[in-house]
Amino acid sequence: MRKGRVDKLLPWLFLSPWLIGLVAFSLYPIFATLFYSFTRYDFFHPPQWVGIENYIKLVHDSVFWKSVGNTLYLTLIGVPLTLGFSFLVAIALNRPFRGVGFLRALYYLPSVLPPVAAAVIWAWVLNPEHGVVNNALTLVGIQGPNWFYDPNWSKPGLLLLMLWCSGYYIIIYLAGLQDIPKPLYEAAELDGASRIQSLWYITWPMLSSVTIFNLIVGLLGGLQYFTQAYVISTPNTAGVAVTGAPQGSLLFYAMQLYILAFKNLKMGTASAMAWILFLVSAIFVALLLRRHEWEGE
Amino acid sequence: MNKTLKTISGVMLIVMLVVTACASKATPTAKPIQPQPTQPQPTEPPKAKVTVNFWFAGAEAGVGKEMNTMAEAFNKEHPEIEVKFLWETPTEKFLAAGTAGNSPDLYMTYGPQATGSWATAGAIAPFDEFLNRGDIDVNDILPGLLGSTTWKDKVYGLPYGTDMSMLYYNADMFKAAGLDPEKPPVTMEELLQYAEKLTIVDGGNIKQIGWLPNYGWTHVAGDGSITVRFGATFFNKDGSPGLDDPRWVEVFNWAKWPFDKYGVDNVNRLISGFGEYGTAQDPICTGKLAMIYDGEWTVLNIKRNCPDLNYRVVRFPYPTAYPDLKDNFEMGGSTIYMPSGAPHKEEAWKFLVYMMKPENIDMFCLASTNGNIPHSIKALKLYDNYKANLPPDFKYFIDLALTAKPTVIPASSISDEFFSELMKLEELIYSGKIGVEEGLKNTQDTLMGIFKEK
Repeated sequence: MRKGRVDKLLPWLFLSPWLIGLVAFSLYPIFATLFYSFTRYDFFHPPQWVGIENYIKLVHDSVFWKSVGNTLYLTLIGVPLTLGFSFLVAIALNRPFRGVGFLRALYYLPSVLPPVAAAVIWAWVLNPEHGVVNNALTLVGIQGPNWFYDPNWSKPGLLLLMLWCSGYYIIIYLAGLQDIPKPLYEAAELDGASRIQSLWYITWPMLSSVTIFNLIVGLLGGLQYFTQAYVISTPNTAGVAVTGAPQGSLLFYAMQLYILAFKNLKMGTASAMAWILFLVSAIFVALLLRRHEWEGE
Repeated sequence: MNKTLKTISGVMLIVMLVVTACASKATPTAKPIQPQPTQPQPTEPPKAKVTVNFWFAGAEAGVGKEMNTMAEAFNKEHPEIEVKFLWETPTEKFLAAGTAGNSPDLYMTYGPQATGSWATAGAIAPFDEFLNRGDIDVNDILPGLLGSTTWKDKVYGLPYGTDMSMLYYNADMFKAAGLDPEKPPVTMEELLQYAEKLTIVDGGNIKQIGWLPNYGWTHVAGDGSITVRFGATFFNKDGSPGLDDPRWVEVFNWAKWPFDKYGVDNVNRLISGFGEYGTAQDPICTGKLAMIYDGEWTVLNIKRNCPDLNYRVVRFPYPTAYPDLKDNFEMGGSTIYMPSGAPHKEEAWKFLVYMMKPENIDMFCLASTNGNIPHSIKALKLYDNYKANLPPDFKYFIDLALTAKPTVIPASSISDEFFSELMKLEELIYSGKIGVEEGLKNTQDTLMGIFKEK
């Protein structure tokens, strides 16, 4: 009898450090921001209840929409691009050939770099005047773009950086590829399927769970994109810096949220932004999972 | 479906419970930070050592040695107090610490621009009660300087060292362009004529440029504001934004010259290739930029990074239309704040009083590698003690500080937002994305909205 009770309590005891941490450091702050999102709160005065004023203001704020646009650009173009690229690279690296281990390591290597370091490197790689990319382009007679100094080219520059750092997705795809049973391919070959056909009818569907996983991770990462853009968009001069330069083209959602909260002391509006992001992310993920479930049936 | 519904309602219930629990808890934690009593308390002598935490926006490399020397001497004199420094603390961290109840006792920034915003938010406390004691001679502070840190008749920040920007130009580049290095430009219009002669374009690429309105500290906003030379209004008396002053149009029409003349992409490409500001690779040292509007510290930067540079430093030109502005220049620099939540205000004040001794101000300003203009008249008069360490051109700034009447950008409740919005506008106007008048009107409207909200 007593032993039974101990058995029941014991797991909770072992879980308790994590549970306490979850409640104190995640759940409480998360729901505190929900409260703050309905208040005007500047850190130093007590929060004042303003109802949905913060949300209404955001809807009418052009800077907010600019950050939404930039973030959607990066997420809706960047994530599929990264996943497609990772998928193809993973297939190439799944074949047994000399030096495949070395190549796998090579592709994975950039993703172990701290984001700040990666961003600094790419700011130089894509430097309009001295960068290797533009120098190489000059050799073939092309005047390279101004990359992070030109609002039309700054986001494509970030996409290149994203592709370069896609080692994480490649590894996940590789693991998925190695789980696909060989007999499936053998059977297809016997039936006269071409390589492209077996790729389309076996590999891609067999990897759908992996793709969904990568898609969710990529999507959440894209919606919260911050570090690299923050580092790159701070110009290389002294004095006042404008975040999101050039011309706000690198002002992403999380950056605008950060500026509102910690620079302009608008905790209420920033909390509202955080909740919008949370809800949008949740909807995206729910839709993806539902679609995946439906496809699986 | 039924199961999903159950799950959803379950989650909702939990959410509601947590929210209500949090809401009732959240209010008391968010109490306003009560200003600590600033009067000396007639209590028994403190038993434990009191630590005064002093945070800096700047890096230790610049003034760390001098500050440490000061703190050591002070700690010896006051065994009950220990002063500790934390370097390279961004303003965001300073503000966040205040809300979490971990405020430092003092905070030093590069400039006074945030004074009004922080005072309005309640992040910083006024110094008036301390200043009334007379430990620090307010009349010794260069005239007008406190204007940038005074908001609603209260002094929220104290200057510590100050800055003045002048025109530096490369005499060898002048000669190469056929200009007389002893005849610098006197008016703004002349400056642009000179700049054109000093610019070399080769096959569409700019090899060197005469002048840039947005390099280093030079901008229409901020520390190295060329706007002051036009006499444009930053803030009205009530602190509201003054971008509707027609002189702002003149400022931008003058400043956007290189972009109009040589193309946005070309100028940006040139700037992208510049080495880091204040190093031996910066365009002043490498001869890619002939003229720059920069502060007194550049005298020391040049001595350290490119001692062979043949340069001159003179008053920055003035607009021909406003001869009354001939002698006007901007002053403003490092500012010390006391957070409203500072736990040891009394001890912090003691250290401030110690720092404000003229010989200590001089040590900070004139012995450090940074190079600053002492903000105190007494300290300025002791300049000769340091003369041997400093390049002769530094004297030019010292003399000006003692004689001229500078312009100081006043404080406003929206100062922080004002300068960031202005920087954004600058970028848009230079890139041709928006016209000068339209841009100014939009930004004025945005800022007016923020101002009214406060």
